[in-house]
Amino acid sequence: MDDSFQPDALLNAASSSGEAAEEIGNEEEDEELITPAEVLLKMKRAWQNEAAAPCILPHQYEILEILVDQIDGMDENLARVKDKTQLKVSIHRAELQRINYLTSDYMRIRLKKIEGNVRRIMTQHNERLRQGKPPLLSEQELRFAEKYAKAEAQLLGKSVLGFLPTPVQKIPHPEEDADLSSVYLQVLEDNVENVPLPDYTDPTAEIIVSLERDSIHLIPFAPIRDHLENDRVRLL
Amino acid sequence: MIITRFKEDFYNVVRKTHVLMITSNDVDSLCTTAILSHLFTCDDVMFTVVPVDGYEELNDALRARQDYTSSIVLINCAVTCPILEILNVPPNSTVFVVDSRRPLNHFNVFEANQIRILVNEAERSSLGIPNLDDVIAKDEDSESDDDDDEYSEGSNDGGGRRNIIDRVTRRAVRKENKRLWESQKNKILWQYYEYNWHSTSTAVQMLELAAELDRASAELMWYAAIGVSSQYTDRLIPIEGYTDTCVTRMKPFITKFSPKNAAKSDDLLRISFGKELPLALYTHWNLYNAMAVNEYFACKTKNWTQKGEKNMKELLAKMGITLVETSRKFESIESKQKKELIEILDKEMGIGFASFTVHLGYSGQVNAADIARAAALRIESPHNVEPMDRFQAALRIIRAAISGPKDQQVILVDAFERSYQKMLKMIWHLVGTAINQSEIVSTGAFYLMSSQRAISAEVAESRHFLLNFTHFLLKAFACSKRGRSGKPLIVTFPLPQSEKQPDGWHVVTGIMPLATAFEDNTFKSIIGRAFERAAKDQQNMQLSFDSFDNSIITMRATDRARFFDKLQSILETSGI
Amino acid sequence: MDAHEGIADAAIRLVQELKHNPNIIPPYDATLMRQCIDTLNRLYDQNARSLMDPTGDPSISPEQITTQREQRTAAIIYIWRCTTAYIHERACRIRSLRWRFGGILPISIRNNLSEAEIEFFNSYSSALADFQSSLGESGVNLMANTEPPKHLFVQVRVKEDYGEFETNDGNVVILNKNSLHSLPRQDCEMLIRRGILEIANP
Repeated sequence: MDDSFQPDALLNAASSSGEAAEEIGNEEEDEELITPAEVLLKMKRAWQNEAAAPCILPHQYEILEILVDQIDGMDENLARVKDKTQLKVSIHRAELQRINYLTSDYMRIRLKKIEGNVRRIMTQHNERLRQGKPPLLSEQELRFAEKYAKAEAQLLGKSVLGFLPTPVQKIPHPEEDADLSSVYLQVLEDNVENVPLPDYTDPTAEIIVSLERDSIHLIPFAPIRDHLENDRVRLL
Repeated sequence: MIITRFKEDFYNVVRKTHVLMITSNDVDSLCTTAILSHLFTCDDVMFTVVPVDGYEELNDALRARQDYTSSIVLINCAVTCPILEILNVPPNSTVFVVDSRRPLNHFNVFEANQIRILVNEAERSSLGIPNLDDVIAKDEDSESDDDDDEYSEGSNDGGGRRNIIDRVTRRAVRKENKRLWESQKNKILWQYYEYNWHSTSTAVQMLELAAELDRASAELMWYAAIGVSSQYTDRLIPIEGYTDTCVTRMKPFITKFSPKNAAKSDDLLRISFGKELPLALYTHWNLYNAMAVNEYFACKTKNWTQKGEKNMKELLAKMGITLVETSRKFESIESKQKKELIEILDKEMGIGFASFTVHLGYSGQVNAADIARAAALRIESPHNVEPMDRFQAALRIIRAAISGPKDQQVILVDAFERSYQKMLKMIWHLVGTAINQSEIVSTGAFYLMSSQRAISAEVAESRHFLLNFTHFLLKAFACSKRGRSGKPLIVTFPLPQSEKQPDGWHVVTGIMPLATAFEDNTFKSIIGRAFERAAKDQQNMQLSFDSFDNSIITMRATDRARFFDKLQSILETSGI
Repeated sequence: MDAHEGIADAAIRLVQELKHNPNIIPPYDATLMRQCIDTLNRLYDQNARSLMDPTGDPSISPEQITTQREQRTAAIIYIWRCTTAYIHERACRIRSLRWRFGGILPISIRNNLSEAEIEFFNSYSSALADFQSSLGESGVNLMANTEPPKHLFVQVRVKEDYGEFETNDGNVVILNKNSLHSLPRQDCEMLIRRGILEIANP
């Protein structure tokens, strides 16, 4: 609990001045300052991980919402600039579009994942809340998931399930084969715990993959999921 | 007004807001637009391109945008006519005119607000622009009349009579002065508008602007090379003018982008400038065909006559070229032999032509003149193909030469072999037939060739075709018999009916006599002016001066006879 | 039992309809769906009766009756999977329509959807719309910026007359058919998507 972000503090900071550093952390710790460049880096990392991961990862909406606010602000500023022929206007605009792309794509990727297996994901989300782990979905995503699940259920009900006997009125859950797919990753920290993988040549044995800092591996997703959520590795 | 500082008064002004470029559909304009588009793209300037074939489409484009308040750039359209008077220019826009046609219409020159014509400082003094006061009347007369009335009111009878006489005398004097002024004005304007000619390629001018902005590159130089080459291949300027521009204006770029010892590498674009045969498309053809359709060789051997083929063979033998060599695809000849052949032909033709060639990596090379030719045919006609389609197709041809071997293959093979070579053969065939069947008549003041044969819109609507044909025909005609180099040649063709073209219309064009001594490295021609005067005050004649070149007009077949009569009397008195 | 193979025919045909037309949404086949539902219900009833009345036909052994029931159950599950897969796949394609056309479906496509599917499309659209408006000052538009931006500007040719068009920074451009323009990519995205502008090849 001590490590968790306090979304309110972040949002308040975000709506104040433009380029100033943001504050994170909860009231009990010393206030850390995070620079705009770091925010952007975190967003890029989150986007990369999300794009490469076969299942949905815990959300990074604190960072996302900071950036979305920034984009709005900068857009307004640029529209007010009188002399649009300055090179810096072009550079800012290009940068804005890049950031816009990152945030939009991050949201799109996640929505698609939610739509792909909405009930299972909502279950996982609630499970994590019970376990005190960082939430899978943001509030907005949760609301969307609920509406979507309802729409899907209505569709199935009105088209076929509603006409079937009660025991057969089940909505199918797709299998999640995150366990089977592999991902490329790079190790970011020292002393990351080794990962045991099944040895395909010998069902009883295991291969231990040691994760040294900066090394790159192709590994099944499931065993490294924990490392990913704690930022010890990143996906490529 | 005229502006000479292209960077400060043109580029830095237009780049601040959206730019509307309206361009004539010819190769020099295409290259100009390509260069400007590139500059605008580098600077994130929003722009629009609208290609037009003539005054009517130009006016349509302007009429649709009456609320436009930014910059309009007219590229090789309309500088020779009073723009604000005949076109629906959006009232709150600024119009910049980039044009190689001369003379500049004096109303455009003296218009102080909306119209800005780009002219190089060095050229300005040679334009012979008359003084403002000599050609544009001041509004003084109405004031003077009022003075008179005032004066007469407060006078007694005796004084009144004298005053009346004074008044009448003053008025008569004023009238006489006005008449003298008008007569003088007409004389000045007569002289000013006597000739039409082309000045430096607009693409070259824009390349120079790019250099001012530190944005010149090999690619832009290629566009300019094609632009100036097209003025030569379109027969707008003589070879002297072409060479002059290349050697003076293009020189700094030649030095920069084609250093003698440049390294060869796969993706390096090199443009070289050097001696070349003025033999269209010979590197993509075989020598025999290229020579057969070429003006010089055709006229020398009169190969449209029965003895023609024999003459050609004799000539080849004399030059030391075997028939076998001429029938092989030129590309496939060994390079040592190629060099020899080129030297022999160069010596024989003696024309002193040099051209730009682009080398991309290790693959073959393409000549700017040939590209200009193929692009001209693609962009100028037929008019019932969307102007933008033709514009983009021609642009693809020009870019194919510098974008890599694969593109070169498909696009250029098609442009050269299927289209342009066909046209060259057609020109040769039409010339031969016209001579053999004596289709050229002499009217006393000019030669006239009135073709009954229908030709396709692809060529009939192309200025490139018309001028190349007319020049070829006159040369062939003159070499068939003595004493034929003193009169201009007028040529007419029936236009095929289409969506934009009603039936029964002919295109009419003309060129100066063969023996004309052209000054200043330009083709100064009076033909356009003569056409205008012949068309004036003609009731019941339907003539169209839609083309931006006043020496290419269209009219109904039935009006031709009357037109030529009038033209005769005009040319007789102009003392050619 | 030969009837077994024929039992699932309608269900198989449903799935095949979508397999044979991978890129479009074919008309909703209510007839086949009805057949599947009826068949499934019939099988279910047969099983229920078989369970409640174990005696039945004395010529068939108890093992055979059990096998029959198991086969019916297998068929029930199979039909259930096919029909739900049919709806689910169509729902996938309908969702992608929202990303292509925005909130309004072209008539030609609407005509191929069932009532329930149209309702689904609308619910999905509104869930998306709510999501989009819940972020940022004035909401986000997830249909924009669908590609990593390479250049700020893009060259486009106008395919049909559009008339006046205002860019983000207030310039008004007239989009006439066949004219060529260089405009900010962001401003053009919607029109390119709608087919009014096409990207001009360099």
